[in-house]
Formats: sequence, structure tokens, C-alpha cells
Amino acid sequence: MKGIIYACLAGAFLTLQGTANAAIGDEIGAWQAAALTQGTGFAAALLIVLLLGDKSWRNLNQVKPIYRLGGGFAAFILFSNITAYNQNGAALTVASLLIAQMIATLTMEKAGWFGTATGRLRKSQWAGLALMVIGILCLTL
Amino acid sequence: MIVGIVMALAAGCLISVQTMFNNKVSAAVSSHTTTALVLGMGLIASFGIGWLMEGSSFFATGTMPLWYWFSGLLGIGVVTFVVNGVKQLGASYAISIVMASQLLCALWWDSMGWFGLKQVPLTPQKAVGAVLLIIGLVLYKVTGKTRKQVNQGKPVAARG
Repeated sequence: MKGIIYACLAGAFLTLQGTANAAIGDEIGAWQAAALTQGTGFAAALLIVLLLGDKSWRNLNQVKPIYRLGGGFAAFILFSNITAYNQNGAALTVASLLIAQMIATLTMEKAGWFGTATGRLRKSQWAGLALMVIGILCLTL
Repeated sequence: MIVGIVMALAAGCLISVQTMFNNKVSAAVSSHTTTALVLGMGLIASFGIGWLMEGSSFFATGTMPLWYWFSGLLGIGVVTFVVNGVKQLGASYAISIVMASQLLCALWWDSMGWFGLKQVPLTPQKAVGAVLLIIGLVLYKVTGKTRKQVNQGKPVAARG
């Protein structure tokens, strides 16, 4: 029960975050809003690393340089998200985001990129994806 | 409308790619350090692109309400609740519920016009759409439990 409450709160926070970013972006510009939220988040995260005396950054050289840059995608993610929220509202944006995320993850797994295990999809999972697409169409049209 | 949908779809794909990248980083360093690195890169990229695109007007934000400076901290709430939810329920169930809750909150707040969202009335068609989406999501995630869940870690730090 506790776990369900945590998961529900996490979802609420995610939508709240998207909405807040959209409101800020509407006011000061989308790139500015992206930089601001990433910046304050970074400051907080850095503070935590310093307070904990976390030295694991030394292992960063074991990570391929390109993977270290992954965070940079957030600029485009946030910019697109802010624009989409302001055009279409929260529900349609969240719905599109979720399905694109699931299909992209599935495609990358199937293609075997990033060395992730590829499992076969069950029939019930294909049905699940189809239902999601119909659901998004209902939200859109 | 279409532009917004295409941008949201692109953002979703990028979130997946970023999650893959972030998972590679967190295999080598602690989760806190991963978060800091990811957000730092996001800061550099947003700042750099914004500045390139808009020049000095990038900085013309005027005075901002105080809360703008704290919105980035919402991410901490997200991470904490996701981590605890996954711990209690396992990744597939937890992430299904997170996504369903995300969508329901979005519909709810849209229909109320809260938080500066423009009010979008909740029609029966939309309610049906949301229900189908959630059933589909649960079917996909929960019946696919044996699949390795790559998306479990941090769908989160991505968005700042």
C-alpha cells in the first residue's frame, strides 16, 4: 500500500514538474526555463555529492565519453516538452511522451543497441501497445 | 497541435535514449554522482543552445518570482518517490503506477485549468482514452515482467 502511494506521488510530481516548467517557459522563454531548472537541480545534486563525500566520480573514466554527455539531451527534451505543454495542455503531452518513450525503448532493445537484453514481446504486450495508441487517438481527436 | 504532439513524441524518444546513456554512467559511479553529471550536462546544453539562438536577449528574463528558483528541486521529490515505490513494488508495477498517475494528474489539472494550464474540458471520449491507455500500459508492463526492465532507473533526472 505504501509503495502504491509513493508511486502515485511520483507521478503527481512528474506532472507538476512538467507544468511548472511550462509556466516558467511561457514567462521567460523555453531555453531559459530549461537552463534554470537544470541549473538549480544541478546545484542541489552537487551539494549532495559534496556533503556525502561521494568520490565515485573518479570512476567516470571507465564510462565511454559519449555516454557522459547524455544529460545534454535534456535541453531538447525540456524545450520540446515546454512547447508541447503550452500548445496542447498536460494530458495530451504526457500521453504522447509516455508512448514514444515505451516504443523507443522497445525498438532500441530489439535492435540490441547499448547491449541490452532483447526479449520477445508477448501477445498481451502487443495488445497493450495497441490499446495505448488507441487511447492516445481518443485523447487527441 | 500537431507540432506540439510531434515535439512531445520526439522528447519521449530522447528520454529513452538518455536513460540508456545514464544507465551506462550509473553502472560506474554512484546514483548521486550520475544525477549531478546528467543535470550538469543539461545545464551546459540548455545554456549554450539558448545563448546561441537568442544572443544577449537570452539573459533578458527580467525579475523572476522566487519560486522559479526552486522548481528544479521538484526533481528530488520525483526521484525519492520513484526509488521508494520501486523498492516496495518492483520496477514493472511501480513504473506502471507512476505513469498512470502522471497521466491522470495531467487530465485532472487540465480539466480544472490549474497551475496556469489553459482549461481543457474532460469529455467522455477523453476519459475513455485515458482508461484505454492505462489498461494498455498495465498489460504491457506487468505481463512483460520477465523482460529486462531498462527503463526502471531514472526516467527522472532527465527532466530536471
